[in-house]
Amino acid sequence: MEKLFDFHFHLLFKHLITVNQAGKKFALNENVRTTGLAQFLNDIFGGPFDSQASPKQVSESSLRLGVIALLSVEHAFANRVLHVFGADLSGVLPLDKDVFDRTKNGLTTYYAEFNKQIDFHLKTAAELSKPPFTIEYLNRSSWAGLTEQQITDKLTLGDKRYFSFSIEGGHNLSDVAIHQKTPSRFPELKLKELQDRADVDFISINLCHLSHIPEQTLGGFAQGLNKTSQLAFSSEDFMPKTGLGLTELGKKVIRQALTHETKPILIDVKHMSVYTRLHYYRFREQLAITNPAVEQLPIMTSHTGFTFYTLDDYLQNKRFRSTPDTENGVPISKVAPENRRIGRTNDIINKGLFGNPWTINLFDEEIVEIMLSKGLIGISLDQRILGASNLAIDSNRDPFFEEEYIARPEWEKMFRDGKLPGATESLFGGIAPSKQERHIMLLCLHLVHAARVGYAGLNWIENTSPWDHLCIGSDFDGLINPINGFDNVIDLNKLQGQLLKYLPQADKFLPFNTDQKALRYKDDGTVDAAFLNQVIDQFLFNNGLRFTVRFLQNWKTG
Amino acid sequence: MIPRWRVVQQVADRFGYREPLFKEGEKKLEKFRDGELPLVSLEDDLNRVQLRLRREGVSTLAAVERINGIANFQDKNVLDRLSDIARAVCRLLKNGQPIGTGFLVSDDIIITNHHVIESPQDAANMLAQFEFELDINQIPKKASCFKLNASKFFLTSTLEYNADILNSGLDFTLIALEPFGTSGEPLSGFSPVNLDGNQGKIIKGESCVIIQHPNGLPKKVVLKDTAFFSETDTRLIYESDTLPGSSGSMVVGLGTCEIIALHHSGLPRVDEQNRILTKKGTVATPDTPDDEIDWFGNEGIKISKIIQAIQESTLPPDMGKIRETLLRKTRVVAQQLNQPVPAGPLSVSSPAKPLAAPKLIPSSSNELAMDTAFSTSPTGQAQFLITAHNKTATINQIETVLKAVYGPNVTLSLTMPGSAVEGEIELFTLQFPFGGDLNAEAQNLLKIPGIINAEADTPILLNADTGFVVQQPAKGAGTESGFLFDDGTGKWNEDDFINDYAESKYYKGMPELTYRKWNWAATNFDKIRLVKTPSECGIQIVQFDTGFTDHSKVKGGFDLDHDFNFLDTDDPTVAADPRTIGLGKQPGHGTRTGSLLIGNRNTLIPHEGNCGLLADYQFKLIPYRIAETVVIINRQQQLASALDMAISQGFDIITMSMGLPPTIATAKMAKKAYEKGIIWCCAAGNEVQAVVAPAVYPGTIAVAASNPLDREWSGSSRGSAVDITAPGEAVYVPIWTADQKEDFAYGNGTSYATPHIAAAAACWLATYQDVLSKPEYSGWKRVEAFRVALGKSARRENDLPRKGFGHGMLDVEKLLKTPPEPAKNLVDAYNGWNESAFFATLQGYGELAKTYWNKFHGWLFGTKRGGQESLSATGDTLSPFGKQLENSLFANQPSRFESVEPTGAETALKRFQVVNSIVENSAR
Repeated sequence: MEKLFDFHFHLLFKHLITVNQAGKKFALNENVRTTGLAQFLNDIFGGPFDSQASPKQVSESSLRLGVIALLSVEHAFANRVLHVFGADLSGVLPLDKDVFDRTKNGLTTYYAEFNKQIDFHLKTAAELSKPPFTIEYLNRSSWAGLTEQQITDKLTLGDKRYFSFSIEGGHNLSDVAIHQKTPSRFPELKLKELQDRADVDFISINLCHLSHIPEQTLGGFAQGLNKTSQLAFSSEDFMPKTGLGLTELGKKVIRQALTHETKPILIDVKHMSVYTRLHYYRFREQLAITNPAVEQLPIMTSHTGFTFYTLDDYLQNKRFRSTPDTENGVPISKVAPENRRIGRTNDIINKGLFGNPWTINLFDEEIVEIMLSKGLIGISLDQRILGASNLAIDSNRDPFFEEEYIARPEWEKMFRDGKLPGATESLFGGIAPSKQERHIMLLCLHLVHAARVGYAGLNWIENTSPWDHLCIGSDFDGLINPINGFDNVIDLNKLQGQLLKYLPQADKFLPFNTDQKALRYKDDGTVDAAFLNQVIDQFLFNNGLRFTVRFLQNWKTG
Repeated sequence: MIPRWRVVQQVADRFGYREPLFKEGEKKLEKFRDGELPLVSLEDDLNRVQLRLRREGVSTLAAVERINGIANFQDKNVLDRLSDIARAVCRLLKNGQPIGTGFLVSDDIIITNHHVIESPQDAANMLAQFEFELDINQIPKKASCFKLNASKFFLTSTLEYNADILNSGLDFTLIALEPFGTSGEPLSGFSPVNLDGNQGKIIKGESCVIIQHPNGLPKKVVLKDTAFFSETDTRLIYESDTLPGSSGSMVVGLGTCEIIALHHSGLPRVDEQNRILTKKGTVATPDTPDDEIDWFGNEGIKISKIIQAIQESTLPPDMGKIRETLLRKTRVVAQQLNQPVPAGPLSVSSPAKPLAAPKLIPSSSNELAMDTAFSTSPTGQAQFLITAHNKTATINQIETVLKAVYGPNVTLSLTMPGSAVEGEIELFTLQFPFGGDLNAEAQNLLKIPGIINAEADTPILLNADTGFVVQQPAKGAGTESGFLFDDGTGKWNEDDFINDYAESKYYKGMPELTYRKWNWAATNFDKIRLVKTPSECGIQIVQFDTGFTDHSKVKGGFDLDHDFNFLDTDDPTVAADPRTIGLGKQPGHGTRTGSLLIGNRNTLIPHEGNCGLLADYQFKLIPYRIAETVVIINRQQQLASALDMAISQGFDIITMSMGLPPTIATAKMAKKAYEKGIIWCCAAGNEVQAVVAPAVYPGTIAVAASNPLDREWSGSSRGSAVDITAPGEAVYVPIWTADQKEDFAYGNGTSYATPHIAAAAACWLATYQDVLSKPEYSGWKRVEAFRVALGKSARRENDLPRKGFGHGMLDVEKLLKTPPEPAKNLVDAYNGWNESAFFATLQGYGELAKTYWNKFHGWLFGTKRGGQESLSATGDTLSPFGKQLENSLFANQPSRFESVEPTGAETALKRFQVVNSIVENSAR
């Protein structure tokens, strides 16, 4: 395998927020590594503290194209870093105290911190452009005037690695003191500032991230942090409690992002609550009425999993149990989705495989919606997002999955009575091994599922297919717990072989849409190897390549 | 036994000054009998109406229909029931002589008046004689006599009120009887009539029946003209014939067959010195025969008060157990009243034509006229707003204590969760099952560690559209301004306008399309040209009001993507004002005030004239429906939720043309909005002179009203809290005529002044967005920058009073040329505002302020048209603490004992102003 595309990873984030044992910053050619107790913690939490996609690792990998997500550390992370079971373990970790302290105490703004991130990337760009890294950051202005073919050639020929930037979380646009009383009122103007910059360019922005930002609410977010991490960071802000769809402020940000004259920025729906995502799809359509150019801008999600449900089925048939409650004086609602068995392996003991039906993951209708917009779906390599549980034996589960928090107003709208909110109803019009191997199987099941849903839900003309809209979104270095066997970006080199082996099995075992196969088969029932290789190439690189080309042509083609 | 004359004289002394009130009730009753008023609108206590309806056990509308019909038709079983109840009534004999009436209220306890049995000693030589009555052949039945046993149970409340004695002045005595009669007959042969202390057993205008032994005669029942028509805090006033000896008899509500009162005395007419008058008008003496005295009616002690007294009495343990049997029914019924009212179509069970059941105008909403008008929490589920530190540990601890005190069904939740800040003092909504005095309980809540302030979240009348009912409190009778009626309809009144303002520079020599827009000229809105419009800058205004309608003037001007309904309805996402016409509904307020912002420029409505100040900028107003009518807000929680939503959505400006008395919750809300940098434009208030909440708080922008002569509108509130003045008298707004046609009229109110400031704010924010978007103008500085610019640019050439109207008239042209003050020069409006002193004072006086406010506004809204008499909110009864406070404040006033009576709107208003100024001054 020669080339990879990764829709979502973090190149220097860990370098920025950590220090080595001597209290100094890690060098660019060093990996952030934990030792001793910290290493123990790292292992317990699934390895989020060790580097997964550092420049050094990237240089040793097949990664050639991708998107680096930039973000400032949220208050919820900084507030109580690792107070596990009452003990303060933050000192054990190689974290840069300054970054965390000023965030925690409101001595800085997210926008200021975000700009430091940009500066750091730009400052180190010269060094990283040299071997062995050979990294170049993409900026539409320097590719203007080139033809599609010229761009494709430039991106694929030669040894360079080309990465775009994305903004992970609208909180990065807040210019008021972090987590204090004063609200941020002009995030859209900050975004405009970023769009107007000549030295940096962004392909996308996530409206939300993992936590509630009380000083700047842009829209509802979905609970993403798993139980252990919640324990570690112990902040109520990780649990969605308030909010109903996009706020007016959120719409201003979206409008600004999508309607910038020369540098529109795509909205990445990852981390939005399901209600907010539906709200966004509708808002995007409204926006396109007055701004036809918006139609050209695809819907995308950079690092997601699937619920393996249609939203219609999930809500109408109440594939969850839920109760509203009050917790510490705040009205809350928790929803425990039914566990969804999505496939099996040949492992006799550990046969069943389950998805993660939390609403942070996409529903089938959304997969179709994204494909319809010529968008791209990055499949996360976070084992939790793909549905794995940490238990050794994970073959049988309770009828219900772990509870997730849903903001009370959104719960009232969708989950209480189990129905789609009136305004969004028209949106869909009624569509409907070893441990290591288990995880790659999960990834394959996701791919097969998306392909089948896409085949079933849309008409595909010759030479197009649902496989055009899927790619890797590893989230490496985003404090994630990667799927087994793929602990960092270098390991992705093994991906092609694994996909060749497991995709056909996933297509065999996935129990949904069974009359619609994701792969092609010959008359004798064997897998069409050429097609298999083609879709794997698309997933690993070509889809990302095409998307990047369109980005560099400012979405005028494709 | 206390002589009858002393009882009557005591009644005269105590209640003589309330005669006007009783007369008012009497008058209404006459109107009802003449068919001018529906029965349910005689009652001014909404809670009582609601509970009365609930007792019917059918849907609200059906219940209204049934109750309205009761005046003429009764089910026959009422007779059976009365017959049963009557068996519990006994004649009381002392030394063989009849001295009064009593009745069995538990297996072996009777109740009578204190003035019949004053002490246990009195009970010696007394007998309770049952079945002293004639059979159907007019032959006396065999009566049964039982001796009294004061040692088993005795509880009394004196005739006279004594402030030092809890629950005195209720003139009742409860005493036990021996289990077997003088001839050995068991007492168990007589079924008691258990007392129900819950409200809603009768509403004004309904009939009552007195079962009695007048003059010691065989048992009698009064069956003619016997309506309940007025009341005091502890007494019901009703018609009916009684004679001496009826003291202590039962008064039964005919509609529910429940005991509503313990009859106590006749109510005589009196002169100014409270001397009892004869029918000839002369002063009566103790020797005047009963039938020569000019009786107003009769009065009885409310059962609810007696039950409360029983509950609160201190008794020896043995008697304490018996007390439980006396309270049982009250508890059971309280639970039943908490059950949901069955939904359902209009009942057709009553053959009587309803006199005036509320009409429903077809609407898309599911709201029922009555259901929502009375969507106050039923007894049993109490809601409070408290302040406390928003810290997990604090909240958990408060919750733990609350659950220990009030049981497991306590819920405590952030009132504004979207904008709450951890560690700050925030507002919380507290709810638990509770049937007692909410105001008293609010004070009790302060004992719970961690609770800083507490108030009952009871309905509050709104100060909003009083401008059209210009009444002179002193004269006691309202006069309409000739513009709008309480059903929201009105008539074109340009003749009046021309008459009144012939000399106005905005009128004289102007074409009609110009003078109808005089408010533009007065504020220079006609002279501005915007470089950047509010819409282009994403600046939005939220309107807290009654919602939107489809009046052509405002059609298309409301933002229907973002409207929201904060009332308790099925679909919160639609803020439509269904223009439901019913009890006290005055729809269209949001339409009239909104028209000044977004009213379309050209419509085909006759008398076309004015349009919205932002109409040219493709501006959409976002309606948040916080009140169903301009009359009443059911819970402050609804206002808080609206503000919370406005803050989390990131809106810039709120326009609110409705006012409340100062409350803990509104004070917190105003500060929150200020900190979040929302410009909250608030009407200063109408008819009450004092600036109302939230305008009165430092954080909001308070707007007073002027007229076409650049003078003050006489009804406008005024004071140091006012920031600016804008046209509010004779402003041209859209209405519906009585036949539901669209039209215009000139209306009055600070309600109309307020949108001018909101529009000015939107234009100013747009003009200076580049500067104002800098971080140094975040939070309150934005609001303050606007306030300073507003003041600097105000037009000082005017004929407004020099004080109390802020900096003068709005001049938007000059405002837009006034850049924001450098941020470092801006001063926090809350500097010099002693918040802790303010809350401490409000904690004490809030209940009085709210009560007087509701009294005054209840009176103010009482208009003659449509048969809808005054509505007043619940919570009108002062807690013991409130009474004490009132006592200390208004000690020389006649109402020192039962203060809460509407001694007239004037008194209520004066008292409100006194209390309000104490509260306001406490912070400064």
